[in-house]
Amino acid sequence: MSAPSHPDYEVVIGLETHVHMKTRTKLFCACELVYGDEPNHHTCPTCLALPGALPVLNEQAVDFALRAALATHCTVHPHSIFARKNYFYPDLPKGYQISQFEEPYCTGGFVEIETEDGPKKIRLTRIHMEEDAGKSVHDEGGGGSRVDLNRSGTPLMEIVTEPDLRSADEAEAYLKKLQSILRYLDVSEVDLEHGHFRCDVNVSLRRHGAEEYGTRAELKNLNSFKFIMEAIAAEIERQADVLDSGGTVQQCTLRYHPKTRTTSIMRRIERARAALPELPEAKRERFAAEYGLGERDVATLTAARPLADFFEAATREHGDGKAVSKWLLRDVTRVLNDRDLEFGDARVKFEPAALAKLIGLVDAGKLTASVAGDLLPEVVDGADPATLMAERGLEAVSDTGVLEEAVAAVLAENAAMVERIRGGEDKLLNALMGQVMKRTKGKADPGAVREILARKVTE
Amino acid sequence: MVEPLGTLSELRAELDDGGATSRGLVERALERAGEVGERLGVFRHLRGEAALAEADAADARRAAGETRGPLDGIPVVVKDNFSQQGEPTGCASKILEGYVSPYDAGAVEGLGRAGAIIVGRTNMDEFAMGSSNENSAYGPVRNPWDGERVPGGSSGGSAVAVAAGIVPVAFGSDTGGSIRQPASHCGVVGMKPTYGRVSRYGLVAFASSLDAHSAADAAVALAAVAGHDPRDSTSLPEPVPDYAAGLDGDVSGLTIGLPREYFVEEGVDPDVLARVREGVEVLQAAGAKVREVTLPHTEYAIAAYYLIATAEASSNLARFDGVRYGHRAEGATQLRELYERSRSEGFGAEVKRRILLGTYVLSSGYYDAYYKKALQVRTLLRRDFEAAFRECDVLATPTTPAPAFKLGENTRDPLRMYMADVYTVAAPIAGIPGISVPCGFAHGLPVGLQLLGPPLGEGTLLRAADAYQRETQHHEARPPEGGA
Amino acid sequence: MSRISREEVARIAQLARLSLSEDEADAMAADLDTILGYVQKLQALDTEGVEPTAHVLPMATPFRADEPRPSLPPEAALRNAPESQGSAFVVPPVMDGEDEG
Repeated sequence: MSAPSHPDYEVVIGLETHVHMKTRTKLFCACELVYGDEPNHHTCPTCLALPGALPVLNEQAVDFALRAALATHCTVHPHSIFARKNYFYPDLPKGYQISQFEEPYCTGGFVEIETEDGPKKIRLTRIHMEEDAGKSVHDEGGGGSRVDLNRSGTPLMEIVTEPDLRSADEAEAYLKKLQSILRYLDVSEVDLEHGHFRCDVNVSLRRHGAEEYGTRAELKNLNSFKFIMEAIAAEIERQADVLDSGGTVQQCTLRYHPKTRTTSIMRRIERARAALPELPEAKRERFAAEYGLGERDVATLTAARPLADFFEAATREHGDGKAVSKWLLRDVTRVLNDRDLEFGDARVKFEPAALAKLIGLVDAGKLTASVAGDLLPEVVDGADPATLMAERGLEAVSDTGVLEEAVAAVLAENAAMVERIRGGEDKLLNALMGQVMKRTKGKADPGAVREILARKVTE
Repeated sequence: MVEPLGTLSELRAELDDGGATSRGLVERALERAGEVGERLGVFRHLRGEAALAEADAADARRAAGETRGPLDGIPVVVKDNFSQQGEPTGCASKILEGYVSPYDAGAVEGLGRAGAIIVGRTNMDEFAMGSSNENSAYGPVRNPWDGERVPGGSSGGSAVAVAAGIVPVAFGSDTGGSIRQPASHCGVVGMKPTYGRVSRYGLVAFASSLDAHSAADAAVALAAVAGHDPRDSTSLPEPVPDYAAGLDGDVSGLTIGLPREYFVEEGVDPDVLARVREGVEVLQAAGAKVREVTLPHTEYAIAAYYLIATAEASSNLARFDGVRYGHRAEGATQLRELYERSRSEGFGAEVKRRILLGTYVLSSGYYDAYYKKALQVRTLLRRDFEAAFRECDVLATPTTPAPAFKLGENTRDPLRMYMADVYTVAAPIAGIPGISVPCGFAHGLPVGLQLLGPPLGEGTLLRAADAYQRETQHHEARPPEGGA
Repeated sequence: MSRISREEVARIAQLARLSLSEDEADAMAADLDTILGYVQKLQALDTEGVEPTAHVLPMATPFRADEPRPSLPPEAALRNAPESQGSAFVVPPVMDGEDEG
């Protein structure tokens, strides 16, 4: 067992995660989803809840939701119901939210996380589709609130776990895993800053060894990993204090009012299954087997889908996965990190074929690894390695005549150093090496240079 | 005083043979609306100049030989719950005071495509909740046959606009009988199509409907607004038949079912029942077969209907909160106060009553006993009709149990008011179409014969109603001009 | 016999965001009591195992393609607003403890 997160009580956590889907339009109307625009610039009679306006369901949202269900091993139901959850709030223009809270389209899956004690399955109660509310911005000065309905009607998936998590760390591992799965499926950007991802956390405590769950408290609308972790820690403390002092934890609940609508989705399930991308676990196994890569490299390459896809595409072009992996994880990653970019960012113009070509030029002895490394930033920016090489005359020099000449010139300029080498200071050979490389602008084949140097020094 | 306008077919003929212009018809309609309409409380809003400009455009089309069809250039009215871009869309409620719709309802677009000129918006029971048109926040509509009586509701203004000769065709909505019942009380044809046949997009009600003088006119009007609208998820994709072409006067192959439960003597005016029986005999004489059928769950229809309708209304009306549009209470300093005061000031008594009833039946603890039970009873009622339509093509019943009652007669007793819908509520519960046709008079007041058909049976209903009107003159009776 | 008390009517009115005067609450309680008495007749029907009909015509939910169409111009969206600031609707402040109940 991992260390208990509280000495006296076992912590029981369940998460309800709301994720914005990556559709172009809203769940029930054709308004474009745009983040950060002026208030109410993306609204229509439906998402403003004008009299007489009606909802029509976005098919892409349904397909995205099905992908998520299949990837988390949920059972998809042929019929689900969109019902109304009634409450009054200014950012909820209809006075009800359309949600599948009562009969969701899928139930009973799981997400596997890594813990100190090995892998653990976190069971999912269900996933359901619903629409997001708008935003109310409260005036600091105590005046009114400003209501912006651009977000009103954004398609959400609500992913609900069983109370299977036993610590804040497990909650974090689950959320990160969920984030990676949804990004892999390409159904959500899962961008916390843009509010793509919000979490309601149910926390309860029970004495170690107790069978019954304690009364839970729900922490709503947490939108960063850090805040979620802090909130869980604070809530554990609060409840422990309440229980220690002999009190009871109060539960809060919402009122539900349903009105039913049904939807038939059998055909879509099959289509979604066919379109389902390979998930990280499967990909890890395959990468190890197919490309003969080490565990760490596999883990890094498969952590995010854009990098994994790039790797595979470059390997198809080049042929040697190990070489591609080495370049990607060392040199390319460094270039991207310097610029604060990552694969998947629209600003990255790098084509897998360009990397394959660059490595190919090194393999063929046309570019030295050093020159190739220097060219990489430009290649990442979209330049063609062969063109750069030709334009700048960077082709590796292996013509022994040229090299002999360069070595002779360097030796002539450094007679004193040559004497010391002959006297046994072998290490100085590297300095001469460097000068030859400099003279040939790094294009010289280092092996050939070393060989000529060694010979000439002893001559 | 301007003469009453004729029927749609008459006005069409006048336009086509050059005897009238659309501008002339619209001017007459507007003038009559200002006189008779004003006296009877028919309108919430008249479009005046905008309508005249559209009439000129229709005249220009006709002069160029580009007439769009039988409704082109014809003045019509819509009920105040049809959204129309740039026009007040008030549902006769104070809570929508000042609201101007930024978009057109699907049915309004259909009328625009057909070239019909919407000259005004008719008074109604607030949010279509009522059976007498006394629940308008702007005063009742009066029956043109007797100004002391109600026209029925909730589409009272639309029925009266046709009955009083202001326009030949009026559009309304029919939720629990809101168009057939006023049509019956006012002596006009009222038709409620199958649920989903006419777009509900932009309509602040459950179902659209229309009034006209004859089944033949109703057939033309229905064709203009029927059809699939992708913005309404319940809109039916089936193509719209040529209703007018199907009116061949032949009912020889038709079997009319008389539901036993609708012909019990108890609670029905005997004169009304007599007129309806005579109407059925006319169709029988024209060749239709008549047989008795049974709709065993009829007595539960009103209870089920009001539970379902109020539950849905309480949720549908939650959007009226004084935030984005409509009435907002002055000086509210907190959000909750804003909601409670805006809604309490904006909604009338019947709307509040239904919101409360609906909230109650949906609340935890009562949901299964009331709302779910009502939805189950709806299944039984639907099955009743399915079984009946295996034995007959249309059902014939009275539209209302009695002719128009007096203003104020039922306002103190909401339940008694609900009972006025006894014959009309089952159709919306089952989603089936119905039509009310004038079939004579009882106590000097019009009586309606109701025909109900299976889903998408509009063509059959119109054919039967038209055949009936070929044999009778009841629909040609007009209210006395001075009577109102 | 009373099926619904005045207190219960007051509670429902709160849920529905309606404020009723004492007289109104009395009248509503009486009306609702009559209506609820009438609808009791449904209880006489055995509906065991009967599927509820939520929609009168059985049809699969139609879908809309995920293609944007123009939204309303902001001035049209705001045109009917009783109070607005910039392009936002304005409401009085939400008091502490006032939430989605």
